[in-house]
Amino acid sequence: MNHSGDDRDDMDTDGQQQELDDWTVDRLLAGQLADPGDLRQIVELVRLASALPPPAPNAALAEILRNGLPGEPVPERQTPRVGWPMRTGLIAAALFAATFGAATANALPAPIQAIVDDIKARNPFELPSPTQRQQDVPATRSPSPPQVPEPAAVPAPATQPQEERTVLPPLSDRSGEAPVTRSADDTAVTEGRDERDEAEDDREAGTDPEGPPQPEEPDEPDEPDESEDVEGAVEVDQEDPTELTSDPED
Amino acid sequence: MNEQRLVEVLPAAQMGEAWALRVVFDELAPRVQGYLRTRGAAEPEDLTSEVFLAVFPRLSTVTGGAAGLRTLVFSVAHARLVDDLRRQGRRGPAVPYDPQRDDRVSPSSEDEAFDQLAVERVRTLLGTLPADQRDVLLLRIISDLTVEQVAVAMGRSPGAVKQLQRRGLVTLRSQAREGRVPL
Repeated sequence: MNHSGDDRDDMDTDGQQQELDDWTVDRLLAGQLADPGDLRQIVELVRLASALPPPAPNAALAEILRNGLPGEPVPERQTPRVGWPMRTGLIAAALFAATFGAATANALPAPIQAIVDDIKARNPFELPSPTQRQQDVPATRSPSPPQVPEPAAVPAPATQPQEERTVLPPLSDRSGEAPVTRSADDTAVTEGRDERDEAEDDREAGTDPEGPPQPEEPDEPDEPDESEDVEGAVEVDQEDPTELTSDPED
Repeated sequence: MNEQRLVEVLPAAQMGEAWALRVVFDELAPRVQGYLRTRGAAEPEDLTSEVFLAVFPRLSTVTGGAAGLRTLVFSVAHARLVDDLRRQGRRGPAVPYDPQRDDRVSPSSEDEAFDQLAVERVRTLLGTLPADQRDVLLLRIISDLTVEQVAVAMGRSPGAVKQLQRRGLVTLRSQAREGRVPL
């Protein structure tokens, strides 16, 4: 590309447009091009025409330049204005929080509590129950029923087979460890943990390892919708909360 | 135009400090007036004051330092110029400018007369271009705006601005070679 403009007589309009690429135009308009021909004189002329002294401001502008801009106008409403969608959302959030707290404490009326329990049963996350909170037990459950003494070849139970659950370690082991997510396909870890659970349960209870699990406490009457698997998991949690940890080394 | 000085005083100008507003006005007003004058504003000085009266309350919205400030100032200037030219169009055809009959120029000041002659030459030179090509070239040259900033000021796309400036320069070059515009 010819930036010098020596062959200008042979150039037609298309050639001139091609010569004036973006690089050339930018340098030319900035006055940085060494030999752009007539265009440089035009650019210099335009710059000269704009090199004027500051004009005299009119009265209003002179007042501002003398005293600065006036202060911020006082808003009509001093309190922040909250629109009705925001207000409705805040009320709904407060109601939800109150209902959630009451449901956790089993303080709702029976019909509403039944509905909430039904929702809790369908929820993949474990909500804390009052008994668990009293014993300071982490509100998690194991992904598979630990008390069913079945051989390893038996597939996982049909309830929520593909869901992943986050198992948190106990509070004493949570420093610096991320929660471990397990799926029902993690048969090796689950089976190993199940076998240790059974062995420890048998050792503590002094029962036959092949026998069915013996719950130490009766089932809680306020959770009638819980399945047997879930109830078994809760009982194990109450006996030894450390067994909920995901670390198989423990 | 002192970019560094504009950057330094911009925070104080955004707080409404008089001295900082004066610096902003002194740095940018000559170019704003030059742009308005070469584009044919009826009252360039008054229009310049109106531009800064509109700009100063909006300084708190400026981002991007001196470039952002220049973009805002010349965006307002371009909008005010368009309104002014529209008003002149409604009033009827403009009378050809005669500097000898312009009483706004002091005949005793050689500098002002020289500046006015330079403005006249530029107006004659750019008078052959379409209005949008003139605006693009003047904003690029006088205000030192980039293609993108000119696009923001004029409400056009950067590609359109590039095409307009290229066409304008090609036209000016061909007319200069043919001797149709005075240099």
